[in-house]
Amino acid sequence: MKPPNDNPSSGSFSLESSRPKVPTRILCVEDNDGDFRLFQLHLGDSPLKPRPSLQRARTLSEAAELISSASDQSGPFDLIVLDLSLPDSAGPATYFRLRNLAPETAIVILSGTTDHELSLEMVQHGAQDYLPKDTLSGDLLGRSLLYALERQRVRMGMKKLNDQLQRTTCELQTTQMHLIQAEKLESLGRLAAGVAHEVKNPLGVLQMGVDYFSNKTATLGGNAELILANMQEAITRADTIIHDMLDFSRSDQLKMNLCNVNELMGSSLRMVHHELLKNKITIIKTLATNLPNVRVDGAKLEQVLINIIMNAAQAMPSGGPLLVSTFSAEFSESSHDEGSRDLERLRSGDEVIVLEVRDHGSGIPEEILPRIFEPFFTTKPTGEGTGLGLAVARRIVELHRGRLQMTNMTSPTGVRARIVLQPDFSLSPQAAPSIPQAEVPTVQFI
Amino acid sequence: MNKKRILIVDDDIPLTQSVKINLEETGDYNVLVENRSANAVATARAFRPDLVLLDYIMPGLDGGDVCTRFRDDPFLRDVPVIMITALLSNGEMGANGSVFRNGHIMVAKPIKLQKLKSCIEEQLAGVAT
Repeated sequence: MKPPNDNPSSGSFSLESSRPKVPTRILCVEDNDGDFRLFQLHLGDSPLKPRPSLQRARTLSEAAELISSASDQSGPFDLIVLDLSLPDSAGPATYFRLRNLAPETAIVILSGTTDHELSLEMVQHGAQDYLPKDTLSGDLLGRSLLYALERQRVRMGMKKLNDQLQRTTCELQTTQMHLIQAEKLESLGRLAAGVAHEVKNPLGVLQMGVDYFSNKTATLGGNAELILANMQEAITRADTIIHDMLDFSRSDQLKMNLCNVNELMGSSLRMVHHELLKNKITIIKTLATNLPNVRVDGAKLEQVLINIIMNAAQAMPSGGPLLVSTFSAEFSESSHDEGSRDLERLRSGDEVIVLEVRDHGSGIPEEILPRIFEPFFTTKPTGEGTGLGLAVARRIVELHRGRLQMTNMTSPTGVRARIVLQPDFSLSPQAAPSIPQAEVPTVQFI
Repeated sequence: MNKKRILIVDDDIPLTQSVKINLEETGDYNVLVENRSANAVATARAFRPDLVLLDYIMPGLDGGDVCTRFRDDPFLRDVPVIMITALLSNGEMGANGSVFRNGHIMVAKPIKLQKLKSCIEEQLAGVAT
């Protein structure tokens, strides 16, 4: 389809010159031969120069065909003159249908003696003007059509600007959200080191206190042992939160090594093997062989994998199958970061290595899905989750210039977590993509 | 058996007190505390410790500075030092409860007495062999 006709030299007008340089293309939708002839005569008398080119439709369906073929061939009509009473449509519906057929074209209503009020109503709904057939003249017609064209041009210009404004506002809101998020993470990082020092010393004192009394439970009697165990648990919990926070402040210190993703997956699964067994989770592995290596901080990546595996296990409280897989794919991104200045970021078409964990739980409620990577956001009861796990996980993956994506899946329901990494061919034993290109799946990021 | 002499250099008074009490309660150590890092070298020279537990972040001279001064001192250069720091987490420690980083043996706060004791013993054994 041709783009909207916004070229000032092709029948529409610029503010500088209100006169068209090429003939205005008019479609007259009028079933009455007499009224059409009269319109033709008045148009001939009008001062419009050069003389407009005129086409006629007797019915709405005929008009639809002409509008459609004109749009395909020479671009939309500049102007439609419409009689509201046609053999296949009558009243306001005629205008609204035509409006939908030609949303960018100026419409002027040809009004009979009995439907002036209706015509006026149509003007309130977006028609550019109405012309009473009984008092029509060349002068009146010429002026009306010129103004109609000009108003439509301005209206379309405004619509275009408004659309642009809405898009920009939307982009601005998204950027602002990212900035707030980044700022939050940055502040958290700065805060972490300070908090770590200030909180860990008191924790150290408490730890020493617990250790001191642990040797004396026999003499303390009562519930001393239970109380000390609870205190120990509280210290460990607080220490874990600080550990997670420190990951923010120091996660730029990555120890990058060439790693095999299957080995990473295997070692992570081994570390949580006992937990999975306890929760009756069955692991179904589909690990691609001969995958290129990745250059990552293995310990950090294991931390991420363990986090998403444990989240997946927790999503299936009655147990069930947990699908883990690794594969090579072609990266595809629906929206890329326009402002990115990172030469090494992932680009559409790049070959990537994917580590996937898929559970068969009930999925993440849609309303909280956008918040799962926010620091301190958790749905777990107090004490059971710090709300930093996924936030840290994503940060770690992003520091590897990779992506972490959590997607709700249907049939069967569940969450699919994917870690997408860049392969490192430099020193890999397999320096070529391991899967024939035709079989390489595409990873779509939304 | 002679008790080993441990010097703790840390500005946190409650922490050093409780570490001292716990270590001394094991019956294996004689512990002295120094809460001002600027006095660390002088105190160590007078005390002649078998091992120093040194905090990393302290006002004035930090653990790194103090350690350098120990290494420059003919009487202290061979004394094993264990850095105790809040900048590392227990999750980052090795199986023996410590990690070797930036040229130092480091342990993370908060440390359990049992782990601290085994780190101390490991370092002392290293000196003895």
